[in-house]
Amino acid sequence: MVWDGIVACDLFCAGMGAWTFIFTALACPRAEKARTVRLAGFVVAAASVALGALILAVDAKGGLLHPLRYFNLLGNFGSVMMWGVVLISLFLVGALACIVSLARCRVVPRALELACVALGLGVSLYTGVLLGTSPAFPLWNLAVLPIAFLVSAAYSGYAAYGLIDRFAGGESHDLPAWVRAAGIALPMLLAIAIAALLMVAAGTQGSGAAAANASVSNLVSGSYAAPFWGGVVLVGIVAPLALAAVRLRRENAASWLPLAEWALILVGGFAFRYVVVMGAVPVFA
Amino acid sequence: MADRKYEMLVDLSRCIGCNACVIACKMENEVPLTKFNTWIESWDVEDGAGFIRRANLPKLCNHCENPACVHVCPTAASHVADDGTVQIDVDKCIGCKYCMAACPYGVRWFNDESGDVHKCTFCEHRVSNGLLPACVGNCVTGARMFGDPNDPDSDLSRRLVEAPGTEVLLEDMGMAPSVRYVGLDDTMGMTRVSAIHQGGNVKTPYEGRQ
Repeated sequence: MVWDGIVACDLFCAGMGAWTFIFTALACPRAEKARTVRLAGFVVAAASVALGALILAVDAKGGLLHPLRYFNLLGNFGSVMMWGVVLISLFLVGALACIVSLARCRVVPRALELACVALGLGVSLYTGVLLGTSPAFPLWNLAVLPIAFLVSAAYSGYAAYGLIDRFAGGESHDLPAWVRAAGIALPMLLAIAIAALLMVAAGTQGSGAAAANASVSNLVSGSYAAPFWGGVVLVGIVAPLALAAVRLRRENAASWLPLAEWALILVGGFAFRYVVVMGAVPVFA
Repeated sequence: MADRKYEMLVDLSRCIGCNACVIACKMENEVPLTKFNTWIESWDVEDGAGFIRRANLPKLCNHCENPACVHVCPTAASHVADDGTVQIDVDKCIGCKYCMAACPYGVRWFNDESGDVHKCTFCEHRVSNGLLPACVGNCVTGARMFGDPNDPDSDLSRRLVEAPGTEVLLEDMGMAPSVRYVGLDDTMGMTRVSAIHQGGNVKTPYEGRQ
């Protein structure tokens, strides 16, 4: 095992944080009454992405022991990780500017928010492309994994924004219709993306075929079947989808229903990255 | 020197799996316990004529012409040197392990003490002084050959003339390795009838036991 659960934490924090910002910027009203929710959303988003970057920096022990080596991080413009460093740095600077503006009771320029939204998209895509450019692990298919991670990050961001809106804005805040619809659409898209990932990996030809099949078996019926079926599928997709459907059908659904839905989504989002990182078998195994 | 390209040729019919190359490498490069720049994978095969034979497959960094490890390294610590070999500038390595995740040959190792990544250097410190890599110089059967394939007088070139049909590991992954084998396809084509051992430990269990 080259990378482990620590990297899964980093990928989850980066993707979830990026999409928390996107949902906050696009779904939260810009009116003064929603200022607290916007501020909380931006703070959580920036803190989450920063935490992901910090985890990666601490895990990179060579840099931790010799901090000056981090200055070489822009040394190879062909490296996906270098682009990740650039995207995350710019995102954090932009998010921090949004936070400072809001904290000073100023209106955040829309262009700045939209720039951060674009950077957030890049950050969440980066987490999948980072793995996808590692040919030793055929499960991390470059064509499918970035899309799957993007959808999963969006779903986690939806959940995080829901929780922030609830706790920072109170129950009086109604989520926009498109956000509530996302609670139905995103898990369906995620299920399709995960199924596509497994099918494409299982169809791997050539030298990577054995490792790809072993990885898929690991997830579907092997040592990571429990976190995959229990954590990713049941907790992360089926249960929150069912709760969202109930919530949409009933006008007076119990107040704990969305809280449970959002919490389950976050658990499932981490579980997805965990099984993808840990369950992948390298070609050289 | 800039255009020079080193290659290694491993004749599997000569390798007896004695691990002299492995020990020589560990001593020469002070490779820590449990880590290896080169190693030999050994297993039993059914040769198709009713005999059980021992297969030995030495492995090391392939010093690829198209190295995934170099492409992904964010700090350019992993780089292609002027002589065409793949080297690591440890003073730039942050230990992110991206190169280890990218290399399909699994030849890189993480130094738990210093936090950086290491691998076979083709004994660059020896070769630049006119010596052979330690593994080549200590191979008791001459299974490992090293040199410049563009130099017609090198041992490697002469052996390539004798055995033009060489093969490489994971050719379809497009890395263009500089480590070539004689007899690789024949060895890999024979039915494996034992676990794969590396240094006396089981690397891959045998699940075909009756």
